[in-house]
Amino acid sequence: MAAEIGVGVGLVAIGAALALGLSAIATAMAEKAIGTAAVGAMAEKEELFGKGLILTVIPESIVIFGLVVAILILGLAA
Amino acid sequence: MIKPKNMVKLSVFGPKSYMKKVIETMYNMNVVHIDDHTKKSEEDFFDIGAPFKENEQFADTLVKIRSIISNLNINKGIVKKSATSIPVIDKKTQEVYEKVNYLLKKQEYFSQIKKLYDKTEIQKSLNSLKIDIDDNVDYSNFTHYVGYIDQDSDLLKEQIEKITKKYIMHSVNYQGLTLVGLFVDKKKKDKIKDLLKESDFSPIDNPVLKEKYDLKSSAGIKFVKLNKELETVTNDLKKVENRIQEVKDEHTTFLLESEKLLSIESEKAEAPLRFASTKNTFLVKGWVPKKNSKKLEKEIKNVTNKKVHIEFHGPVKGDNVPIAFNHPKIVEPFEAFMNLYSLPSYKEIDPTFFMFLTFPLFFGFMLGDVGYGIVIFALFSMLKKKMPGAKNFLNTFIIAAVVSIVFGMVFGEYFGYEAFSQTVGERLQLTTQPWVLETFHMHPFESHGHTVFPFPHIFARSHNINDLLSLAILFGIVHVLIGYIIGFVNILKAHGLKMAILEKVGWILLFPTVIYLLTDFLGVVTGFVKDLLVPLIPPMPFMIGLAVLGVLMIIKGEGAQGAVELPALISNILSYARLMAVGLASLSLAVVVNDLAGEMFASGIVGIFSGILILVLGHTINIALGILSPFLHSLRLHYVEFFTKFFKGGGKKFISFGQLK
Repeated sequence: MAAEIGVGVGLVAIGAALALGLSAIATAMAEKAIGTAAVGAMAEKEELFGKGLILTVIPESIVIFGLVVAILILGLAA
Repeated sequence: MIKPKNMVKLSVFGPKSYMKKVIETMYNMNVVHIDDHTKKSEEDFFDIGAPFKENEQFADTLVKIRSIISNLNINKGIVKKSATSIPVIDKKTQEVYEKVNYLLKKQEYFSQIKKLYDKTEIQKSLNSLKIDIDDNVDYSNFTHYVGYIDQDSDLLKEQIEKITKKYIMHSVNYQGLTLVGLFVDKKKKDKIKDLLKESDFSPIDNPVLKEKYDLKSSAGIKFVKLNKELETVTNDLKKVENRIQEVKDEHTTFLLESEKLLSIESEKAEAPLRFASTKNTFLVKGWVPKKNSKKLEKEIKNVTNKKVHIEFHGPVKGDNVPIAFNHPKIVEPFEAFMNLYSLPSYKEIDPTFFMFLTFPLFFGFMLGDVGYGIVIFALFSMLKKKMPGAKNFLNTFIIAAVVSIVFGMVFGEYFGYEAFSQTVGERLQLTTQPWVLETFHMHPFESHGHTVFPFPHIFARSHNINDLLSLAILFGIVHVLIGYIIGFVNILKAHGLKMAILEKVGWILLFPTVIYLLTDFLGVVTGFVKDLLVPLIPPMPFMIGLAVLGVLMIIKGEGAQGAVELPALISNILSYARLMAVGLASLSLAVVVNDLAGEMFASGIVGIFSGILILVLGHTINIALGILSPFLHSLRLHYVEFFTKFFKGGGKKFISFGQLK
């Protein structure tokens, strides 16, 4: 089965994986810092849960973009 | 449904002699939110009221009951209030309180001693006790006792002196325990023994003593080996613990019911603290739901012979009106999400109803598996019985699980399985009506050299990833658009039509452009969703014109901040792609587990067992993820993408006077 996949398709797959993987790492790095601070703030004042959550998940759009790009790239292979 | 209950401001003013009746009436009706009176300056005409005198007694007993409840680790369940009269409760509480305190003290004593029963510890404690051996005394006439007592040493001294004057006693406080070394007249041995028994004398055993002192005479209480002594203490401790358990079993209902009654009475007795008062009058300010106001007025006038003045006003600008949700029963669970985030302010649209519509929809769309849906449904129905306190929160999951089951049928997914086995599939092809096969897409297809007979479904998400993505984005477009429309209504009510148009219509005008970008330009949205959306795009120049107009309005309405946020519109909508991603991830994990187990099953008897293990373990993990992930992501889509379009929040909760009932 492996023989059926050409080099071009393989490169596309790697590209898609990189798009998703790297953006996921970026999101993780960003959310780490914000999440720490948000939990700290919540420990002081519990009502901050809503605001804390919003701020924490803002970088998540990075990985969503990564996902969308990955799907678009995979579309090239089809 | 999308508005909190209408409130009116209440003022009750009257002579103090009627205060009790007014409090009683308000408490029983349970519809008033009292605004506590605060004395802002010395010139304020009104003082804070003083609580009723009987409150002291209530509070005293209440503190005792609560301390017993917490000391005995009694779980607070839902109980009715006690029907016993308060003086009887006071008396009984005092008895139980003393008994429990005595037992707890004993328990502490024995467990302390138990902790010390280790040779080095005993030696250490013995070293702290200075026993001076006086050479002039003939110790053969004495019996000695060395050990711990659960009593004050001075008190013991007094008691011994009543029996005999011929004694020598040394004592020291060691780690909270009283350690005594006692030498008494041999003739009085029996009496002393009884006395020591009363104070739970726990002797230090002979071998240890012998190492340190050369005490010739034998002790009155037979010393035993170290382990034996420890056993006795353990038994004593056990006895005390059993006794505590008995007391707990006997009095739990009494304690909980009395606690409830007294909490209610004490809240009523303390109510004047929240009122404004002068020497002879009182004034209550607060809020009442409009529909209850007439009845409240009537009741108060009835019990006070119209001697009390009552006034109602509508809320004016700047009032911090408390929020009482106004929902049908099925929407109520979702109030929990508002409490978690922030309550809407009084003038705002209450988004709980919209959450009720879309939260389960998103959750179900992500989870979308009949098997998992049923498991979650059963799990949370069970939890609901176990934890009635979290009922509301658990109900949201139950509703979401039902939607998951529906989506599972649409997707044709059952624990990650999507197709019949070869034999069943072939038979079904022959026996099923052709129109059923047609409607539910049950026609077999070739995949990796196998013929697959899919379960009945309407839309197979694993084979139509692009359509699934497009559908998710479509949800996003609609959801965000609804957000802006609600925002329009909110601003219309708060700041008028002009601001509403500038701030929200501007964003709505951008939507054709956004749809164009997502479909033709980026190509994220494809397939049937694209066909659905493309007719909505106006001709190019017109679309650009709308967009430019929209941007100008946003800048006028929201300033530079609005301009900076322009790209966020696209990213907000793309964020709904998670509806597809989370769902597919959960499906993929299930498929992997099933495939692994399937291979195991084929490899003999050992394989079958490990296959079952993998199935159970894998699906358990996946269900746990399937609860957490869709829940968080669905919640986030509401809090972040949806609420930011219209929600201000900051309302305070309506807490009615009398809720304890």
